[in-house]
Amino acid sequence: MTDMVSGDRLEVREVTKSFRETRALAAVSLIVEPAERFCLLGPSGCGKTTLLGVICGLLDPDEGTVRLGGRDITRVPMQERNIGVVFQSYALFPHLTAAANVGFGLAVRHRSRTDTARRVDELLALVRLREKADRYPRQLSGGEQQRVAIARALAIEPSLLLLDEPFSNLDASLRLELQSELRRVQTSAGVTTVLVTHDQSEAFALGDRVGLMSAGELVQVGTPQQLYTQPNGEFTATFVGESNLLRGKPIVIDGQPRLVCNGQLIPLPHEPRAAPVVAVMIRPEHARLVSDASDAGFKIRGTVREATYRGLGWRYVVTTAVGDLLIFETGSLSRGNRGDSVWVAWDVADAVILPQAGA
Amino acid sequence: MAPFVAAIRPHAKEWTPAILLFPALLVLGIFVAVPLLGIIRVSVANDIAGDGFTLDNYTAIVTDPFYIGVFIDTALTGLGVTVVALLIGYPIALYVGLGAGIIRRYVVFAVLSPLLISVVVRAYALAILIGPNNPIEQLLGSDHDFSLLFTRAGVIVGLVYTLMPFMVLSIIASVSSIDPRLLAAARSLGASSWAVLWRIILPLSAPGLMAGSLVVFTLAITSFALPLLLGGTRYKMAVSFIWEQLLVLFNWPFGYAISLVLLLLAALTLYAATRFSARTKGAFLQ
Repeated sequence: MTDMVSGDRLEVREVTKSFRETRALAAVSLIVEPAERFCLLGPSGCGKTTLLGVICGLLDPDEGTVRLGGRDITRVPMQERNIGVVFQSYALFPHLTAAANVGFGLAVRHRSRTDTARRVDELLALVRLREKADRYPRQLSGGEQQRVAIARALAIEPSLLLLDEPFSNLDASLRLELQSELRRVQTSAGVTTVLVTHDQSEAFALGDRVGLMSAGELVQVGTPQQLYTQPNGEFTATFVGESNLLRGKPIVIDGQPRLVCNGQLIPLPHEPRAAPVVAVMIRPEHARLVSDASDAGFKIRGTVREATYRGLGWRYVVTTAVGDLLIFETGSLSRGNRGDSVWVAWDVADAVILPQAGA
Repeated sequence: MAPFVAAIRPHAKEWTPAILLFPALLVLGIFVAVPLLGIIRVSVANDIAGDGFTLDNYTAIVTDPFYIGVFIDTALTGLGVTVVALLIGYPIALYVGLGAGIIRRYVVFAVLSPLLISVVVRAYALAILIGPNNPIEQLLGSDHDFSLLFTRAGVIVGLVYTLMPFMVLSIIASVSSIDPRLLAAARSLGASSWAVLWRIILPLSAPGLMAGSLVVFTLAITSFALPLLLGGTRYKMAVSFIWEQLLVLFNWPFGYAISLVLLLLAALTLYAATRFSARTKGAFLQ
């Protein structure tokens, strides 16, 4: 790409939005840095699409401000915000060709024909659809339509690019291909990007940072690694990847912090902040299935309830005194069958104490 | 959706023979086709009884500048009705088709309400409204002449009023099928309200707009009672001449010949309408 577009900084401050009695957004604040890729992740109905609507101007917030590149755009009409939007359904204009769709934003800005044609050609080349410039949307495949939608949104040199569940209508294989395509396009355009998705792997694949939403609030914002390894609560721990959660009362025995969980003493990596109940997360890949007590980590007895081969490895569910534990072992070697009596082991340092909400 | 439809379609074909059209064909055959054949026969006859054969009536219509003028004039009036109905009806259809809320139903009812009243009653009511000493003249004083009765403008006013529902309903159908996300997408790309209207709504509602216009035009050039009552003897459309030939001059062969030429014009217009809507649907819809 010859002309780099420098993205603007997006600043959402204390945005609240209700639909009748339902609070869709509760004082959400968020900063996205120039050229950053930010993913809003959450289950359906968490308010992520509402937040997107407020940012692009489709919805007016009840309270709060939205600033883009330092300018307050909270009450600026949608058509004056210069925000490129890729809709979930792509919303391509059915009566216009791919090229005319891409050029629409330039045509309504009354750019000269030669300028528009050149820019449209550039963008179609960027999304590798140059040879389909004269096709109508209905003559394009789902993936091609999506690329036209992205090119159309980028054609106006937006200060910000918003994408609403852009891959949800596509096959799994096509999805991976287009995700890497979007990464490439977004990088070469250098535009600040906010992408909404309910798919954690998509958020991790595309986001420099991920904002996890639940019930109208931003629960946790951070890099994918931060969300995965240091969840700030049970919601993040369970929504982002799979996890084992052990809840109980923390105590200290012989200077060792421990958790009393169903009568079992689970060692803690460090002393938690004073709280009546704490939760500890052990990721399935940190737990091991061992047949004897020789493992160096903490061990608990159990019985294999499920053993499923997943290609990358085995997934076990083991019933123990602290509940069913999920274990992921890489490799094809089976370590236990259904009904086997086994040990579940993990290193104490791999257990993560979750901060309690309100603590 | 598509595989399901594709799956049932071959089956559906098995039991949809033309027999389903039989009742309609029977009625149309007895009450339209047979009389039409009679009209065609008499139009090339020498007298009312249907004797002899001559093409003089048709030759007169297509060569006599007077009758050519009548048809051109009728078409112009139909065109005027279509344009005025379009200009008034399109905004109404946009309001109903794009908006939301209960008020839309009342607007639709208001648009359809003229159809509830007999055309003769409507014509006499309009005659009072646009005739001599009408409300506008009363307001401005008797020295202003605003009477439209027995003029082309008066007939156009009456036909617009009568045919508006066909225009509005036709456009509503195509406007309300526009995906609102397209309008949001256009605005996000910087389109003003005018640009959205001009570049998105108008092209996407073109099939309904064309179909409505052609239906209104066809009905306007063939409507009978209203032009007769509001045009009187001073402003005559083609139908008024047919009426005159058939019921005043008793020259049935010539009156029938005019009728058939008018029928042909209307049929050509409708044919163009169906061709157009079939083509545009194919181009716009998935």
